[in-house]
Amino acid sequence: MPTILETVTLAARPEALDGLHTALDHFWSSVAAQLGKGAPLRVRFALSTAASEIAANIIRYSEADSFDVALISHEGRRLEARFEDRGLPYQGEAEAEGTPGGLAEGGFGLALARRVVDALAYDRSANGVNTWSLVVLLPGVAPP
Amino acid sequence: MSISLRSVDTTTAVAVVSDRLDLLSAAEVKSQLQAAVARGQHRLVVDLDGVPFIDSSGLGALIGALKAARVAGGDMRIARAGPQVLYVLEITMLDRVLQCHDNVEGALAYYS
Repeated sequence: MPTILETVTLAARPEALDGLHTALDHFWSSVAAQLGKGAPLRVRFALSTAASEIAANIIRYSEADSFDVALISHEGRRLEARFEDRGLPYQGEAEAEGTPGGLAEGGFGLALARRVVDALAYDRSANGVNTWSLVVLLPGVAPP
Repeated sequence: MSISLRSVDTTTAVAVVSDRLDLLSAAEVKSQLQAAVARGQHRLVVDLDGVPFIDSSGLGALIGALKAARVAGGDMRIARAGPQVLYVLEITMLDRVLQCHDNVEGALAYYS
């Protein structure tokens, strides 16, 4: 059973990143309590980095007023950050230009997010909700 | 977020950045570093000891400053990057471009 350990609704403005990181800090404390030990640093870095990139993309491009974040533990085996907003649909072409590693000054946020997590999914529902899901596996869990 | 610049000499400066380097702070950091380059301090050291977190916006600011420094005939080095910063630099392979040093003195020695 997935356990939602943290939820927060944030205004789609750059200042919201403070709230995202506060939620992530609480989430990592809850995960540590659930596991009986802290999640490995690379797992923390991966999910936090990818979450920041998705939040930044929503803030920059969605034109939504706000977005919801849920931070979820799937039986202590997989950790998920889920974002929902009612803004514009994601336009894949806009971010396809950027890949990490070059001297580009932007446009590689989603590529970076994809690179660090085990699964990244995007869905646009018929009622106009964008959902982003980021999943990282805890060590010892086979990738899908 | 805060950024403070310390002049080492007429062409060299150390920038000390504190707090997250992300969408919220990247533009200010890039602006301050590029202003230093415009003043003639095109040999930069960016001390990231106080930066617990960086994302692609922060990386973009550093790349922008690096390019400005190189166009002006200088360079930019990173000092005292923390574990999350090193992780992101490694994942993006930008550690090949944004050269890191364990301390500010080591980064400054590159210019001497």
